[in-house]
Amino acid sequence: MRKNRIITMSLREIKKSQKRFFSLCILSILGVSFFVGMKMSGPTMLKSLDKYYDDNKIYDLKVSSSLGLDDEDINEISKLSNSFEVVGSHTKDALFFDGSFETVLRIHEINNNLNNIIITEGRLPEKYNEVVVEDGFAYKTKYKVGDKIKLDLEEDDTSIKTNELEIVGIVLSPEYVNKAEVTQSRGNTTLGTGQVGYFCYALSDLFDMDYYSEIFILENDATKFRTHTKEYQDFIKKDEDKLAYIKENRQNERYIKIIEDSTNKVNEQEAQAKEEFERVQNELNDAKAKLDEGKKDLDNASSKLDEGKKELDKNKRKLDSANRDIQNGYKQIEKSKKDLANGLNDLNNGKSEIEKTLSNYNISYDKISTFVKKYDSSSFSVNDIIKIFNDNNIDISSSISSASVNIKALAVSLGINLDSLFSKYGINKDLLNKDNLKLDEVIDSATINQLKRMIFDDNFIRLVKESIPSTVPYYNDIQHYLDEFIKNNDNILKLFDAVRKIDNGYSEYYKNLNLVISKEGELNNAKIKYESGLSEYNKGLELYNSSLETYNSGLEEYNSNLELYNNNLKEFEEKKIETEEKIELAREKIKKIEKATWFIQTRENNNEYITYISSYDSINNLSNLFPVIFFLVSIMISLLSMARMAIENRSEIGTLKALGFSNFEVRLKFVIYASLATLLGGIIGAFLGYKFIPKIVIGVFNIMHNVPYFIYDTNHMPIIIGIFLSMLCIVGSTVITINNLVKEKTTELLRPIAPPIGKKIWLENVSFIWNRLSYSNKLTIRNIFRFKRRIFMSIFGIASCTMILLSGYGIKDSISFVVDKQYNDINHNDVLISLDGKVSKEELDEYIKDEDLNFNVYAKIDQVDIQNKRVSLVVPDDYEEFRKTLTIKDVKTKKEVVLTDNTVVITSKLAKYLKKKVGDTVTIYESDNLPYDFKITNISENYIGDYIFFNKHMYTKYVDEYKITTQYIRFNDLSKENEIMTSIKDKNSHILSSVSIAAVKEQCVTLFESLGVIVYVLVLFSGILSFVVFYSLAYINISERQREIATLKVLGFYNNEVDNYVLKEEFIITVLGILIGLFVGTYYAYAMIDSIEINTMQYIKDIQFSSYLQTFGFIILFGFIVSIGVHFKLKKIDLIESLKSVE
Amino acid sequence: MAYIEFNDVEKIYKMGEFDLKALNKASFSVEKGELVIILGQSGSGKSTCLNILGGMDGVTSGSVIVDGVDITKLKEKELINYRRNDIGFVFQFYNLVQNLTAYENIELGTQMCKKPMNPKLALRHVGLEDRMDNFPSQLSGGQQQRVSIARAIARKPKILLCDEPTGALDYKTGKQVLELLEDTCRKDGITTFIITHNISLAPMADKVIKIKNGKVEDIVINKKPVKVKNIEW
Repeated sequence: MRKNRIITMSLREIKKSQKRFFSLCILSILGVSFFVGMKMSGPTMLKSLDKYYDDNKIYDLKVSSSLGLDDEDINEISKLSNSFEVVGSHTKDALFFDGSFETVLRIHEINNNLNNIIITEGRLPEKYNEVVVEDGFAYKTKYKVGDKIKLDLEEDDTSIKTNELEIVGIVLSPEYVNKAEVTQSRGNTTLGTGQVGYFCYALSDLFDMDYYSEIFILENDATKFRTHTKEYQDFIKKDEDKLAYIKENRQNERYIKIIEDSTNKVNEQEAQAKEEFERVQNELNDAKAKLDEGKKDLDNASSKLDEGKKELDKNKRKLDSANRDIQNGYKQIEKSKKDLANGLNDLNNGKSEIEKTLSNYNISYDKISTFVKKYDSSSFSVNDIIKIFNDNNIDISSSISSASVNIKALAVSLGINLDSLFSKYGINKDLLNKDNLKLDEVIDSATINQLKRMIFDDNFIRLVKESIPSTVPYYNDIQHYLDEFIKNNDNILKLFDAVRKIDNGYSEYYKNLNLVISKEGELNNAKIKYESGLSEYNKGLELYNSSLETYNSGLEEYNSNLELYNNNLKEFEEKKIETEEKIELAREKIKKIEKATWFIQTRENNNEYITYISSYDSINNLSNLFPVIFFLVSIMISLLSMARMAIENRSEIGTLKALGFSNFEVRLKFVIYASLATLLGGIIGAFLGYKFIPKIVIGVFNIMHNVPYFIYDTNHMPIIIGIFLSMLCIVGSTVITINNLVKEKTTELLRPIAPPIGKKIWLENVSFIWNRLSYSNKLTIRNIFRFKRRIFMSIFGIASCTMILLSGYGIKDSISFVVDKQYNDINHNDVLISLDGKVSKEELDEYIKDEDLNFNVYAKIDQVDIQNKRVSLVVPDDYEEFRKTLTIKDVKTKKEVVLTDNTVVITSKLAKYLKKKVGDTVTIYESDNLPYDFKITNISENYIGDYIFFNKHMYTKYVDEYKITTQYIRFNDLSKENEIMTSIKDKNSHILSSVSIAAVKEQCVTLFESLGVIVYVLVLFSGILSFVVFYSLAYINISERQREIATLKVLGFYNNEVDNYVLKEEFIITVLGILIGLFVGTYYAYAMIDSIEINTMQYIKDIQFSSYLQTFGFIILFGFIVSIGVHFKLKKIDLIESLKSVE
Repeated sequence: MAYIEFNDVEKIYKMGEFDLKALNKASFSVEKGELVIILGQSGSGKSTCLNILGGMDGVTSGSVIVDGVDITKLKEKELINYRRNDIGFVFQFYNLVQNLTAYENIELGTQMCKKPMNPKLALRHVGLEDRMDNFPSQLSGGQQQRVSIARAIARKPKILLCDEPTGALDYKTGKQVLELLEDTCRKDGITTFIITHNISLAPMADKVIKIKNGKVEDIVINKKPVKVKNIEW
């Protein structure tokens, strides 16, 4: 075989110029590895997920229903396809609060042979009260395997059997591919802040529900497709259609069953309640009867007691009056006694006075008294007169009778007119007619009374005295006494009266005294009687009192029993009403039960899955843009390298041509050289790229995701394409370079190449600048202009590195601005609450305490479709109020848009998606699938989500009736968010869910921080690229100018002067390159940002000044590092080089 | 002591497995102001001599005294200073910086000197005053070499070292260049070394040092050097 010496030359050339060869190699490695790596990253990521899902039998379809699902549903679904594996499952959201940390746990049932979970620590639950949690939860709460957690359940919540669960393991769930610390939310819930914090799994034994929360369907025939691919989606769509086919029927059946079941249940409850009521009512009635009887007894006792009391009172009154009488009697007696004493005293005084008088006469009082008594009595006689003075038995009567003296005569002798005497005392005058009238006769004729009066007549006594014969015994005494009598008769009469008075007084006194004494005796008797009466009364009272006490205690007992009864009755009645209300409510509820709605979901509806997919999309998008730069740079560097090589081989080319080789053969040497380098680099690059870049890239994205699988995609197309592209770039540029040379004339080629011609540059004409430049600066500038192509390439290369780096920063900046802009400039609320739309504004206001809130704004948000895109139609209740929570700013004028009756505002990203401008018409499909046409009047600035804004009037006029479905709240004190939200949720049962903006922000920030890692990856790649670029450029520069540099050294340039000579221009080029890179890179970054934009998010194309600075700094740093190498390389340049001839 | 002394200079290049003795105990001396021609075949070691003398290369052993200083003992920095202050170098291929005009190329040489000659004067000296704004590519080989000489002498060096100055020139131009060098030496009193393999130039020198296989084979002293003008080859 004839040896082809061109090939030999080629191989020798490789040996000779290893550096150049490897430089080409590295370019190829970079280009290919990056291309392959990026292209493989996406599919690898997807394949990993697919395998992860397939291995763990993760559902393809999931059915949930507003009314739950039952075995019949499972049956019906199972019938749809033989390839279905269908499983019903339970889910329960529960509040967890450990004193400091509150979250919502979503408890899933561990399905048998479907939706497998992966135990990373501990074991799977074996008992109903065991649970396995995700590591994010364990990490956050510091709970370990073996610890117990307690859930905050509603009191009447019986949907799970216990609220105390023991953690027996830590799990990973393929359904949750996002890391807990990154997501902040595992889904929406009606509890707590509205976000599910963490998931956990428990045995189905834990759940006590009579329905399934979800039905999972595994489509066995779809496992052969990779998830998320079109084939997979198309296949699953067919299953979805099948499900949709039975949906209506199943919904109805479920509805009917629910209604039946609940009605039966309510009826049963009602019957039970009725029975119970009857029993209780009877019991109560019995109690009531007993009570009434007791009451009657008590009443009798009471009336008896009253009577007794009355009697007692009467007695008491009597006793009291008797007592009073007695007391009065005593008082009277006392007084009488005193009076009597006084009277006695007076009497005694009178008597003693009389006695004093009598003593003069030597007459005792008793004698007088006796006399008076005699005088006053009927037996008085004249005899008695003497007796006053003498107790001797002097009988003057007989003396008188014995006297025979004619008184007539006597009278005349004595000068007494008998006639007048007689008439004075009524003595019968007839006696006067008698001749011999004796005194005796007169006395006899006189009545005793006449006599009594007459005795005291002096005349009469004188008659007597004179009449009495001197013969009679005691005559002298008689005469004496009669004289005495005549002397004292007046006084005697007076004395008589006095004595009579005294005696009467005494007799009165004694009479009264006796009366008093008898009265006192009477009183004493009465008192004794009273006292016995009183003691009797007291006894009676005591008896009464004790009876009353007995009665009262009886009454009290009765009352308490009555109260008890009443309470029981009330309770019973309340309970009855309550139960009746409950039953009524239950019936009401049954009436309100809405038709079941099935939600058929695929994996694409799983938020976490979608996040992962959007990471995948981002990588795919990046893989289209990033490698381009690397290929461009490799084209450029290889152009330079090969040009240099061609120049070095110039005379050889000439020689070959002179020897008669064809142009093709001449080219061949270079093509072989370049191809070998490219192929070698390509293979190494493909290997490195395939092996490591997906790991790095996916590693970066897996900061957010929890997918423990890493399965390389086996599609090797990117490798082939990558190597092909690399060949195209490097070999292509080689051919182009060589072509120029090969076409030159042989003779010219054999001559040494004229070095690039020095010439004046335009700047020299601007003498006022040029003349001011130092000599070395002039040289530098001339040099820059001398090697135009190299400089251009250098700038291009450096600019490319700059672009890559800047785009990294750009992505980071743009994303991180989104949150700031959206939640500071556009949205101003702290919480967004979704309501069921069944409640008025006024009612809603009541659930809210004004002092807690900065504002509280209402709107209706309607989900509408525009060109198959789901968009939120926002209709403020009151636009003026609504402005507080959302600023609708025109994207162009940056002015706030006022929602008037004809304003239709759509958000910018939506406008971009729809490709519509202001003035275009959009067709909105409302939930009823009716189209409405509107003309866009404004496009507003917005970054997250797609919205259309209408005012209320317009909405009600054209679309639908208005009801409030959304509430925007901002707190005065954000730190009280949880507290206030809990209270609002407690009060407001119309809340479907609530989203805390703070949580969303935090979530975004963590997400974006993790995306920041992209920047480091890009710094790495940009660094590698920079080194290659800088190194290649420096290498080419130095090798091109070796002689010149050696000459300078011979001329005695110091090392630093030599460095300066070379590096100054490199520095200028670098700065120029960076500036251009920053400028172009800005747009490159924008393009990149566009390509990784997530569906509903519009990134802000705004790169921060600091990012520009950092990019600048990094590239300068790379340049500096390379320049250190250049310094040593320059130092190493042998001065002898200067003596060598020009090739 | 002579102005320049080469004392038993040995220079060994390590060439992989075997050593190449470029100079083998070479010794000679030169007085100030002499025009010296070092004569030898390719690979004889004459260039090594020049390199060592120019401070571009060190010695393996021996000493080289220039104006009382042993340059083999100089440190790198001192060596650079030696090159920039004491040496003028004329290259076979002129080694002008293509990007600089004739004038600027001379400036490149003089910019670091303490008391250099005015570049214009230097150009006048080599008869190229009117071409001072021309770039090397606009000059002929001889003209370029003259610029190169001007660059060397403008620095007022103690020694002017010329490495095959006519090697790339045609006869006529070469002669002009040699005349210029001769002139420089004689008029300005600069000690001048011319390295050449052209034996016919020998008569122009004050001293001819013949080198063969790294050794000084012969030193010929011309009492009466012949003017270049009168030498034919």
